[in-house]
Amino acid sequence: MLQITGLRAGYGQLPVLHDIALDIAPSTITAVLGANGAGKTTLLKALSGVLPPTEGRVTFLGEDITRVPVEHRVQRGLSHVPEGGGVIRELTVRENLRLGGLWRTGASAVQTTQTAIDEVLDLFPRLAERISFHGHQLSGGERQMLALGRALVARPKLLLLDEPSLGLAPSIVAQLMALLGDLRESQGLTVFLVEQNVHSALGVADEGVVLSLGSVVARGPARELQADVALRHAYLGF
Amino acid sequence: MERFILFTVNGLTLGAIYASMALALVIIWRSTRVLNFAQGAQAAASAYIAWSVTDVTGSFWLGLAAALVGGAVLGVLVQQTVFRRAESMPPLNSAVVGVGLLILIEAALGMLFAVDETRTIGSAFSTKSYQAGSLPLVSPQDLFVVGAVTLTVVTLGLLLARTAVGLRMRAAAFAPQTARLMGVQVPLMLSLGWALAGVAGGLAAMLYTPTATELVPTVLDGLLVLGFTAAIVGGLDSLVGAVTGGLACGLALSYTSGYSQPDLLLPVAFLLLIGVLLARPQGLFSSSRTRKV
Repeated sequence: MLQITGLRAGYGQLPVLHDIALDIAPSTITAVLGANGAGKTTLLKALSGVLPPTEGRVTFLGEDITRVPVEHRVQRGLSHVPEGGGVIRELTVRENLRLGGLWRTGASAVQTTQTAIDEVLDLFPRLAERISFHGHQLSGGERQMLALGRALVARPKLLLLDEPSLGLAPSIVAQLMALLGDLRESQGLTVFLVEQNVHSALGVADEGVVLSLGSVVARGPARELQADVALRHAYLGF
Repeated sequence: MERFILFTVNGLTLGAIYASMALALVIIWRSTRVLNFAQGAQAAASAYIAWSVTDVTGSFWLGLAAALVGGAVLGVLVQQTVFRRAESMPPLNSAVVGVGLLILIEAALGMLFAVDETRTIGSAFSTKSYQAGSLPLVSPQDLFVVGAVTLTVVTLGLLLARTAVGLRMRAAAFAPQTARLMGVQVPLMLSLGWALAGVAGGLAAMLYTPTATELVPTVLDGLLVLGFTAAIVGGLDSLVGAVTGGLACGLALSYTSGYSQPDLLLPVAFLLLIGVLLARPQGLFSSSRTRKV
C-alpha cells in the first residue's frame, strides 16, 4: 500500500531523516517507535506532505505522491492526525467533523459526509452528546476522539496517527488502541502509528519500526520486537 | 428632544458606516492576524473606481457595483503582491507595510486623478428626513445606509456560519495547518477573506463619501481611524463586535459633536480608543483567549 524509498527530510539546513525505506502492507498497523528526537513525527509529516522530502520517493496505492500537495492527499485516502489531534478549538464538534469531509465534491458529497459523521458518532457516542460543544470545551480524551473521528469522516485508506495517547489516562489509551484494532478488522484500515507508549503500540500493532537519529535501526513483527531485550534496552528504554 | 432624535439617527447612520469599515478590518484580522492600515486607501481607490463609472454611465448603482467588485479585486491584489509575505512577519512589520501601502495608494490616486477637478459622489437616495409633524426622523439615505450594512453583516454571518466555504475560511483562519490536512486550500480561503474585506471597504467608501465635500485620495483616512476604533471596541475578532462597536462609536461621537463641538469628533474617537485599550484590551466581543497563531 505504501512504499517509502530513500526518503530524506529535515528542517531548513538540518537533516532529520536519512534514507528511510519501508513497505507498508494494507490492513495492518505499523508502530513507529523511538526516543524523542528520533524523527518519528518528521517521518509522518514527510508522508502527509506537511514537510516535503528533500530526496526519495513515497508511493501510495501505486501512485508517486512525493510531490503531491498536502491538500490533495486526503482525497487519495491518506489522513494525518497530528500530535495533539489538531482539533480546532474555536469550532464545534459538529463543525470539526464536517471539516473531515469537506474535500469531497459532487452531488452526493454532503450526503456521504453526513453518513460518515453518523458512523463516527455511533463509534463515539460521547461525541454525539457533545455535538454542539466547542473544541476548547472538551476533555483531552474527547479531543482525541474528535481528532480520530474527524479523520475517519474522510474514510481514509491509510491513517497516520501521531502520539494519540499523549496526555490520556491509561484506560482511554487502551480503548483507543482496541478501536484501532477493530477498524483494521472491520474496515481494512491501514494505520501508521507513532507512539511513545511502546507497550500499547506494540500490543495492537502487526509490525514495528524503530527509529534512531533519523534512521531505521530495526523493524519486524511487533511481538518479536517486544521480545528483543537488547533492542528494547538500546532504543526503547525498557 | 428634537435634537436628541436628530443626533441619535445621525449617530446610528454614521455608526453603520464605521461598522462597515470595521468589518473590513475584522475580516482580515480574523484570517491573517494583520491589521490592514491600507484599508482606508484601498476603499478610497474603490470610490475613485465608482466615480469613474458613475461619471461615464450616470448611474450611482453601477458605480456602487464597480466599487464593490473593484474593492474585492484590489483586496486580492494587495494580498497577493504585498501582504502574502507580510502575513508571516511580526505584527509590527505588517503594520508598517500597511502604512506604507496607504501612502503609496493615496499618492498613486493623486497622480492618476488630477487635483484641479472637483469630484463628488452623490448619495443613493434623498437626504431629506421624513417628518413627524415638525420632528425630523430618518431620511431615505439613512435607511439605505443602515439597510446596506445590515444586509452585509447578515450575508457575511450566514456565509461564515452556514456554508461549506465559510467553514473552510474559518478553519483556514484558526488552524491553517490542520485545514490543509483536511484538504482545504488555505491560500485560496485567505484570498477570499481579503476580497470580502475589500467589498466591505468599498461599501464603506460608497456610504461615507457622499457625506464628504469632495472625493480626494485621503477622504477615508478619518473613517479608517473611526472604523479602527469601532473594531477595537468590538474586539477585532467578532463581526457582531464590529457592528456593535461601530454603532457605539457613531452614537458617542454624534452626541459629543452635536451637544458640544463638531471639532471634537476625532479627539473623542481617540479617547474612546485609548480608554477601551486600557480598560478592556480584548474588546467587548473578542474570543481571542482561545486563539493560537
